[in-house]
Amino acid sequence: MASGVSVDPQVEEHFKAIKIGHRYRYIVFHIVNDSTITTERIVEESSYEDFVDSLPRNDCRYIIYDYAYTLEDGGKREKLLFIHWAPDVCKIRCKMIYASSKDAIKHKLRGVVEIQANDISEVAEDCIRDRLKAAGASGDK
Amino acid sequence: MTSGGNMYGGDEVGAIVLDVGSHTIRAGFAGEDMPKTDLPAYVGSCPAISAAAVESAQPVDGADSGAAKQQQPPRLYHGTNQISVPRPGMEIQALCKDGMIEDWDLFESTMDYLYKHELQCASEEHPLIASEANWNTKAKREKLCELAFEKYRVPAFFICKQAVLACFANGKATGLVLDCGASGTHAVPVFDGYVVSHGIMRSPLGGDFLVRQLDNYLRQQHKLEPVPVYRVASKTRVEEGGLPVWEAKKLPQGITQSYHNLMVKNLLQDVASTVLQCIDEPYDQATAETMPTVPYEFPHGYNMDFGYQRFRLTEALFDPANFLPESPGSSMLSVPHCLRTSVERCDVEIRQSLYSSIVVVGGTSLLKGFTDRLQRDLTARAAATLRLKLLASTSSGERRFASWIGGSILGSLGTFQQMWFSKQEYEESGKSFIEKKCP
Repeated sequence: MASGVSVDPQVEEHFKAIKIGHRYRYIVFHIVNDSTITTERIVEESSYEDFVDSLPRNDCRYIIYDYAYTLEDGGKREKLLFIHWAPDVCKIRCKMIYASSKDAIKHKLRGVVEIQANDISEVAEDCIRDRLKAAGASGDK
Repeated sequence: MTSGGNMYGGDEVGAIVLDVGSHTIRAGFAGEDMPKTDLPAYVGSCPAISAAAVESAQPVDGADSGAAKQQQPPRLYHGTNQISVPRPGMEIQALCKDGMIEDWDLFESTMDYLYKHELQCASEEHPLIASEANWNTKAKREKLCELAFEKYRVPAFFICKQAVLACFANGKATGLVLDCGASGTHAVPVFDGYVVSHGIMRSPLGGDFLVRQLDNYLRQQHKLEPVPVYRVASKTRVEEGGLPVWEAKKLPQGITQSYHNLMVKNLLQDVASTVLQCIDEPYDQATAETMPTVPYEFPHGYNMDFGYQRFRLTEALFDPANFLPESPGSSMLSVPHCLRTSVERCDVEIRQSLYSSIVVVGGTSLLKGFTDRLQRDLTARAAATLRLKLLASTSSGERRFASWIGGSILGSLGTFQQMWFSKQEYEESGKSFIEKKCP
């Protein structure tokens, strides 16, 4: 079931730029006027901590993050994280709209690891690593 | 319309949101925070004769209306106020069975009542968005769709699963919805906005079950026959635990057993919500005895302190094998077990996402200490690496009406216009098209 919210064509272009060109560190998308998903901001370089700090504490967002990390055996990996950010404290209306519209944007974003986060602990780096490990173990999605 | 009518005014006409549960029916306008009405999912049905007698003269005088007119349809009563009046011959009938609409005639009369008295609007002017049980059958959803278009002539219709709405309202597209309601507890996995139907687990341990436990306890241990307020004319203050001194009200003849049972149930529900609590560790007699007691005074004056039983009665939700006096060694699934089994029936890849998004809804989950105890029991059995997260709204309204609120927000979105199953589509493609529009 979906809300009927549409996706701005630019979203896909920005996604291509981060997926193929690795041009940005992360992109934040939001829903404008309860009707369209658009790009809110693009950040070219940032540490993961700064990114977490920049998340709005009482509003929902979708984020694509180009995450690079090193495995225990020294291997290097890069993954695109698709974070559905919906803090517990934000308005129920906001949570509802973002959750019911997620399907629309997800269709435009191929080859990403999905993360649902309701508080800061769920986007913390160790939590993300655990998720990536689990996703890696069961085959890349 | 009522004075609040212009709140949802504006250019487009607001949709009506309907959420049918086994205990109550929630209805109201899309875009509002709370349903306008929370109607009992029961109807009082009086044989036509005695209903007519009640209408004509208040002191029931059955002798006058000798000429029987058996053919007349029964007179039906809706809403808490109407149902609670003791009427001769009034039987209480339930609309739903298993969370699904069972008696369509009663359901129709309830819808008539809703439109006329509660919502006070014309059905053909407002689109209707309805929630359905997570295991609703195709036949039943088509029937509801047909009813909406044919009888109520709604301009557009939509139906969605209760668990999906509850999950979305908590900001998750994937999650495990634990609905602890009146008729029982259901664990329903939702993945990307769809119910994983083979993962649904149901257990009869819910609000009605607790009420029955409480009833047994009072009858057996206290020799107390719960007397609902409708039978009491006056009472006298008595000592705690002393024999009640009360005067019975003069009632018309022919009060039915089903009416009495409903009134007893309402009374016991009040007792349960006042005194019962979940203990945060597995039940231990010594600990429970140190907890504070809660007094309760029954309508007929009997009053008592509830001690350790406050915790013992609810323990059956978590450990039915050891805490069900009537069926020791019961194989019923405890609430945490129900939840775990549901997750285990799902694909291994999504289990972690489900465990980290457990959405707790339903009126019975509002028992004090319920979520804390659930968290504890789940953590105790889970692997250390597993990340568990319980999402439970702190507002009792959001917990009880999660599905309704979800529907209300969805129905109020401008973009949702294109999702509706419109009257035109219905006329062109028929009721079976609902499967395509609302998968």
